[in-house]
Amino acid sequence: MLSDRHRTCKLLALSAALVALCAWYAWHASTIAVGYDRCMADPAAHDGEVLELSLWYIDEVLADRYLISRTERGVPVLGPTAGLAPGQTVSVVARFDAGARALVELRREVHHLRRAKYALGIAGMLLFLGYAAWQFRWQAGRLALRA
Amino acid sequence: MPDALTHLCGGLLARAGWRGPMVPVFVAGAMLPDVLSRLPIAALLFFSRHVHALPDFAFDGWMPLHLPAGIVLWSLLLTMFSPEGMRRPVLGNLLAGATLHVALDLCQRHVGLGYPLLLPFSGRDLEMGIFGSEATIPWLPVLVPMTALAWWAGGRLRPGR
Repeated sequence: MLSDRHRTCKLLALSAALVALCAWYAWHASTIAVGYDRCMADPAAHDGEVLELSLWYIDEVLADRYLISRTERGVPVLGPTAGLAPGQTVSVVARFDAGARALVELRREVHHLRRAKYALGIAGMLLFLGYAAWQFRWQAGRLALRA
Repeated sequence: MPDALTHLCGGLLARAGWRGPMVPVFVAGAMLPDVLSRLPIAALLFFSRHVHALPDFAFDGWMPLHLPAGIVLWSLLLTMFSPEGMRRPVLGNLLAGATLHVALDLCQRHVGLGYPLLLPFSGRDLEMGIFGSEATIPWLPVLVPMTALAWWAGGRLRPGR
């Protein structure tokens, strides 16, 4: 299976399988995920629906609500706003309120170290890319380890 | 996911006392799940927030590259680019490194979805919830020197390997 026999066919088959898996998952996720926009498309049908929003950014903080964005923009969440500031990252469990046309916060976690995590993530990736460039070389269409 | 630096240290620590020519492949296996899935998502999120909003599928499609089914496929694909005589150890080390990566990630807890490990056969998600998604960061000042020390000590214990 790992030989060079029909190597081009194997590479094409693996690439096709990978693309198909990713495309299927993108379609699958779109069918199971209930977001704010979908709730707003038919508010009455989704009244009371509980949404889990992981790692969203705060855009704006008002007296009784805050607006968050990730794959959707400006999603209003009703809840206490003390200590919140634009730019922070939060994860929120919230219930859709059709009357208020907003989410009502049930639980919230503020990710105070998220920026540090991004910075360290970039540092780790750059270190890895440098390490990989040092350890591997491209030779005659193959990825080989440096001696 | 724990941050990339933690995964890098994890990969190096795991092989500190067990050197050999395949260490870079193992470390690549420990890093690639995030490089192939989280890095594009982060770049697209940045684009979506600051330039032009993108639809959900632009983000969701990368997720399988971080799950076992996708990991097996990209490991096989990358292995086919290595020299023919080295493919078994390359594949084994890529998969072992990626397994370490997934094991570390499974220790976390998130709000919302965990990791649907059995996709595409089951959507049931799993997380052990031992620590939060940023909990490793305060430990990095300890972890990085510890990795360097273990790597140095591992080299001294096994000279010539």
